[in-house]
Amino acid sequence: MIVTRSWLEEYIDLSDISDETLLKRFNEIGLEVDSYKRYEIPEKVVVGEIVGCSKHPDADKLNVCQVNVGGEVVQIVCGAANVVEAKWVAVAMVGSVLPGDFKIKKAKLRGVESLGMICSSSELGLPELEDGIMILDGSIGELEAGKELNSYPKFADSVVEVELTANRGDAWSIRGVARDLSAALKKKLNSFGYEPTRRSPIGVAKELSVSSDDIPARLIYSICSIDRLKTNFLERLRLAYIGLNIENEIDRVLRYARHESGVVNRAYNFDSLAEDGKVSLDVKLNSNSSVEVLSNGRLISVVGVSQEDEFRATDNSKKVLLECSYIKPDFVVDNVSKNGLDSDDLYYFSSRGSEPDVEYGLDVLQRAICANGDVEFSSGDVKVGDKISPKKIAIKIKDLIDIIGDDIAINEVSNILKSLGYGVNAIDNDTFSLEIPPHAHDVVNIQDVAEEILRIYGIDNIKAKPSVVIEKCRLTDTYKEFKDLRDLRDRAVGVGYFEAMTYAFANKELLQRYGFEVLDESLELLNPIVKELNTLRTTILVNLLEAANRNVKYGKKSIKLFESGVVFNSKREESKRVAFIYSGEESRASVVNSATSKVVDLDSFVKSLGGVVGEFNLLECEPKNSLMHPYISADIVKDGKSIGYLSKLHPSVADEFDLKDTYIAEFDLESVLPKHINAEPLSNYQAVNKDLSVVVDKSLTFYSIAKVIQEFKESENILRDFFPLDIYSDESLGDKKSLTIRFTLQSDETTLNDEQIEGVMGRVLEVLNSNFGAELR
Amino acid sequence: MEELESKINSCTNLDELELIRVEIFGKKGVLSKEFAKLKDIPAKEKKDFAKSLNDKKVALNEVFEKHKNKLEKIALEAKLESEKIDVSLYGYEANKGALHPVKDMMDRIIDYFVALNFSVESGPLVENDFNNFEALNLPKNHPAREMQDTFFFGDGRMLRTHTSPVQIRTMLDSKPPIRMIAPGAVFRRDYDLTHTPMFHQIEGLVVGEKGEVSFANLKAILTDFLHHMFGDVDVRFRPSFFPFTEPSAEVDISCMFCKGKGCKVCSHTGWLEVLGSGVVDPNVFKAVGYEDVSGYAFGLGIERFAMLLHGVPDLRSLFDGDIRLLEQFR
Repeated sequence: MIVTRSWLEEYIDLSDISDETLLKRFNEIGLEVDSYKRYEIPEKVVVGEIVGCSKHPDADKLNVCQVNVGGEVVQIVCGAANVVEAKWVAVAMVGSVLPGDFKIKKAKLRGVESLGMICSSSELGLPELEDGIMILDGSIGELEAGKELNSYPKFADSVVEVELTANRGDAWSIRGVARDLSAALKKKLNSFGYEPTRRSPIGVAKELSVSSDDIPARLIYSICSIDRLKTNFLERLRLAYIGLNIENEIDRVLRYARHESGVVNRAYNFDSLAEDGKVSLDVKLNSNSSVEVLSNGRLISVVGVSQEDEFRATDNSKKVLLECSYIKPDFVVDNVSKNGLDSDDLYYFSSRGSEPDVEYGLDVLQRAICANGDVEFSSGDVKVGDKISPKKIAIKIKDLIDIIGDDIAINEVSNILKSLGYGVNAIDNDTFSLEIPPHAHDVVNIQDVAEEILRIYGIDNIKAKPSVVIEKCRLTDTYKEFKDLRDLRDRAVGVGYFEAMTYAFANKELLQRYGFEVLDESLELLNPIVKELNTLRTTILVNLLEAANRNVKYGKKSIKLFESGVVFNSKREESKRVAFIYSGEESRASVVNSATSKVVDLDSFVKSLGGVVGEFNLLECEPKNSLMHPYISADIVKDGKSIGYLSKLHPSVADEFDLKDTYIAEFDLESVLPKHINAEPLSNYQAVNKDLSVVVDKSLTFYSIAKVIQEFKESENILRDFFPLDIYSDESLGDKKSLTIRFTLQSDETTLNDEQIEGVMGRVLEVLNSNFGAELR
Repeated sequence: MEELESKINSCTNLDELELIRVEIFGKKGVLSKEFAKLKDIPAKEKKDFAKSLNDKKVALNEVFEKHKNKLEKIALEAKLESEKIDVSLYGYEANKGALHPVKDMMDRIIDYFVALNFSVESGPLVENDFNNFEALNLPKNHPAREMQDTFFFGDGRMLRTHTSPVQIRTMLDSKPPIRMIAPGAVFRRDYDLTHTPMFHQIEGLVVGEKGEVSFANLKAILTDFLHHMFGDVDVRFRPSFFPFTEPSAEVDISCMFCKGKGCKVCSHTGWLEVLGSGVVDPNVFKAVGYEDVSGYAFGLGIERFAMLLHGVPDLRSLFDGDIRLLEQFR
């Protein structure tokens, strides 16, 4: 909503209010200031009266004007075509400086002396008004040749755009904003009344009959005959200030009046509707709940929604039927949405609650039409629909104070509400009966009233008061998960990973290409924003690969990223994962490594993951998707349970993402968060390491051996730990390999003797022999 | 005796000293030979001879140990010196990553509210109409629904457009009093320089008995919170509108880049909008079946906090996994 200071001043006296105060108050009362511009006219730009105008002897397009600039008449050569129609103009005198540092000097144009410039609006730094020079009229104040234009307050105006929230239909007008200001500034809101200068003695009823159903709307009609319709300078200037450039006069007038009053208005071509010189209208509540205006069975408009072009008044209409209307916003919104009706730009206002005072709206419209036009109104008007009666609610002062939380004096509350148009009646000492004015259609309960008080009283004036809290442990499982996840993320950072944050969306085609599941068709996103984000992700890894690819483009040689977040399955169920990618150099070439960079390998990737999620085992697995290398990939197993997988990135995928050697892993988040730990007692006796070298089949994985030893370990309480120490194969071993395993043995009760040690080792060998045919090397 | 002493002291390294040790103290050394003479000494003199010889041995040993210490020190010095390297060549590569500034900001905001006895709650990203709109006083056809352009699914569900549905879930699952925050990802169909289709919010809700929780309480906590996060800034409350709160206010802080004078970041207003808040609308309580309660709620965008606090200029870069950005937070 754009307002100008001088326009507001038609409703409220702002003479002692600076622009700065005005802006501050706007923000304080909930009309957020979006932009502000003060238009100043340069000095020595004055009102000029053209007293003579003749063609330039040597130039077709130039005119030589004699201009009274107060006390003297100067000659000015002007190139604008419309100067011939002009009487009053803006003259930049010699010595004035126009915007853009344009200095006006004495000049000769094709041999004719010119002492100044007749200005267009844009040359003065104003919004564009019309082609050619600006033609002034008395609408900005009494015109006096030689008077500085800057001294006309309606001319040099301040323009403020305020942002209106969806509940503030009441402020979509100059008067609506002025009404708020009057409450905030404790100033009177001027009343408005207008009587057209020319009324024909013919009563409107002779030319118009309107019948109506019981409708949730109110309409008023008036008829005017038009000899000439022309907006005045001020109307055009203000429309330009509020950013509108409207082609024809009738629409300018309607728009100007609507902006000022907030009342939805329309104009019809009387002759297109009339039969035998008379128009009859029928305002009906349609079975689809639209309120329709019909004329002889023809639909001419839907109240608050749209109008048929065929019957619309134009600048050529000789007689115009004017309509101002109000319809209840909830009603019209439901109706339009339910029936999918086409609506025009007035619907925006009727749906947010336009000004219900249609009589006032008609007054404003009539004044706008009469401002500069030659028109005659028929006597009287025709109204249909009931006046919107104020809603009544009773509120307890204590409840109101409790919502706000600060003591505001009762009479202060009462004054604020009265100044906003509320009827306030005390029922008893602590209860008010309120009549809510019809324009405040959004106000239905005590909290809405509290908002009105708070806005006008000023939040700045409310004393902040910390809550008193009853202590309670509020550390939820969600919080515990956040803390655990934070620890995990800190560990990832500690081993060199950067935390990425990518969209929960994915490119469906990519997911499918790499063999990931996708959402079932019936559960899919209906309105994705771009093709690259056209579904929900079912893995974090593809997002991380895309991020890695971007980093390659940024020139990064070592890329180490992780992300924790939500992924979805085909049923669109959510689960949380954490994914890692390690690509390119593990360390860059430098003095430290004799200028040879080291590229990441499985060992360093696995070690880095261990630094984040702790100890785990790897189990050879079938590739689950085509990101995985068929031979360098594994299930990640912890306590016998798979918690995720890792892989070298398939070289052809690496090529697609322009990556060097790359490793990826994705874990189920919950299974890598820390678990409760029960400590085991420590032994006071020395531990012994014993190495066992056995010959087994080459294809035998360590994991299968480990599983067997693990099981065996349960029955041997002095066998504490084991890990693969060395692996060896040569021709003499054929399709066998030699595997050395180191065992750690310890007892809680005694220092181990040779017999105990050899006993365990013997039994290990037996187990390995019976399971895998392992022979001592 | 003196000759032996000077022999010890003339050694220049530990190897030489070892040879001398054998020569003097060894089984066939000088001292052994002297002690061997003891058996030929008359008994009367034996005691004195032995004593004098022992004294000599002790004295010589002292000289030896002292010189040995000295040589060891020299050898250690030489060894240390031989190990000298140019330490300034090292230290250019830190094996440390960094947390994402938005996620880190989320953690810091959680810390503040947990310290003020708020619980942390969560909910799913895919929501139904009731939790995301209806229960939050956003009935169908309400013009305010247009404020949030929504991603819909084929089965009528949607990606949550704010973290507010977690309020509804929490209220449906528990009884007042409630003090909760809900951090998480939210989605709106908007993609340009200053909007991403996903971003993060933190939602707060406090519910107590009727008359217990007020706008003044909200003003107190949010003012303190913003001072905690942004330091010495001015805080301004502006009346505003949200369907789920009434009265509502947006909260601004004075622009930290221009100190309120007006700059590009604050669109020359001197103020930066950082929070939305208000007293919970009675229709919200009605939707979850609460009676005779009062409450306040607030919500903020975490990306915005991170961008303002760390001076990150480009919102979209936060979703790129761009290491050039992330390594600045190392």
